[in-house]
Amino acid sequence: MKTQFKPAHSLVWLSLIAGMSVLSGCSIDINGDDDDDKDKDMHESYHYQVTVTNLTQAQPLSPVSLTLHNASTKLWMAGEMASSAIEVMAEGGDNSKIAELSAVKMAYSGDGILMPGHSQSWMIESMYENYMYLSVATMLVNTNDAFTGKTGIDLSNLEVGMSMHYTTMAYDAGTEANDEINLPGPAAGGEGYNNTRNDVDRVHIHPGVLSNAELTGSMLSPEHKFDNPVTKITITRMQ
Amino acid sequence: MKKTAQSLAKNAVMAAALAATAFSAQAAELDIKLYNLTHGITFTPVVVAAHDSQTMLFKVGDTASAALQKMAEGGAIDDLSSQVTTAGGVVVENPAQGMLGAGAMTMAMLDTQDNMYLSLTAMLLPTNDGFVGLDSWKIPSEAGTYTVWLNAYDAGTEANDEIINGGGASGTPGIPVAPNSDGGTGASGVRSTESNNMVHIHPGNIGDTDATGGISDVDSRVHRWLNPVAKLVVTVK
Repeated sequence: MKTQFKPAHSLVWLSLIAGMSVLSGCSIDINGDDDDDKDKDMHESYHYQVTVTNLTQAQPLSPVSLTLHNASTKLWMAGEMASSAIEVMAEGGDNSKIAELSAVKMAYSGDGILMPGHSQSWMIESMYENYMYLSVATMLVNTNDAFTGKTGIDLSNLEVGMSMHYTTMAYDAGTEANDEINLPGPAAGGEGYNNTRNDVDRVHIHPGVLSNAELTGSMLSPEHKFDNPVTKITITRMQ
Repeated sequence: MKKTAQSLAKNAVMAAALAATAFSAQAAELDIKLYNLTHGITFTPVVVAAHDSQTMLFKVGDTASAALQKMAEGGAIDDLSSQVTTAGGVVVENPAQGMLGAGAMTMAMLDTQDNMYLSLTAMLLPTNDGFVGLDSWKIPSEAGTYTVWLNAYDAGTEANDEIINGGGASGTPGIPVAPNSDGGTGASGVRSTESNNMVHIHPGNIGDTDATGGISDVDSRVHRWLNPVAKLVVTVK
């Protein structure tokens, strides 16, 4: 069973950046199956507030993906090939494939873009002992395939009222060449996801963007440059 | 008279001892070393502050205070410093006795009294409103030596036009100076606006290699950086 909380307007925005048909597949799907009652791994409900701050100068972030999964799951690994789900998010900002991964028990999505300098917060709930690992992922939309986040944060030892803080690096999914033209964000409004892989095909630390000050034909201007860290994540256990 | 003076001095010593006892549960003596790790960026006079949880020099995602803007655009730390001391914090001002050049290190000693958090700022030159910062690092209660890596922030108060024109007052466009006389002149300007007016991670200098024109008075071979831009080594005694 998987519980998804997906406010409808997040998909409207996604459709704008990813060229999807508006509202297709849009629903709030709270699965009420009885299966959960039989789950032996259920425990009392733990509640967390997760806040993400966009630290970049001019890189809006796609709707943030928050997922809960088990200890052995990593949504990505530096040096390894990106999964298709990460590729789809990193190139087009669509986080729905991450939510659909079989390893993911619960998935939440931001309800719109997270603008530079702004913060968004979510309340998430975990009631499964074996799924106490959080991953946060989002695309830097004025790039070809840059994303950021943190995967596999262990929530199980966080006590009520306590907080954890992380800052995150910009990764390059390695699935699309950084031509600085085929990017879906407002700087270009160009192509998002494309299943062709024409880059090094491994996740790595993003080398940064050049902008039109240094790369002829780039759709980016100097304000779109970024340096690490690109987001700050704060997780507070509420109950 | 002499006896009275001695007696007063003795009382003062005792009062100081009592005060020290009162705060001994939390007070920390810190030895601080700050290293400028950049290739060619100069730090203006540094302010190091110990303060409570309600006080801060800056916070990412928040609008810069007027005092922070004054430091980030012109290097002046007096307002930031007095804000901290007014709120009961303690500061070390300008430990390097002036600029802290690339590759240089400066040291400071700080008695934190009952303040639990450490912050630090210094403007980066040549930039429009860039600064190196530490925001409310919780001072460890256990004695030992701790290393913290510091990032470059953009105050979000001035567009990064990269024009060196002496403009260091808050709200005045331009960069005050390239301290090593390694900047250019006559640049047309990289940008005249900035959409993110919150404190954020600095995107870095663009620069160019034209000393008498081009888009920037900053030298792209000398004045770029990647985070971290400084190393802070704190010894809790």
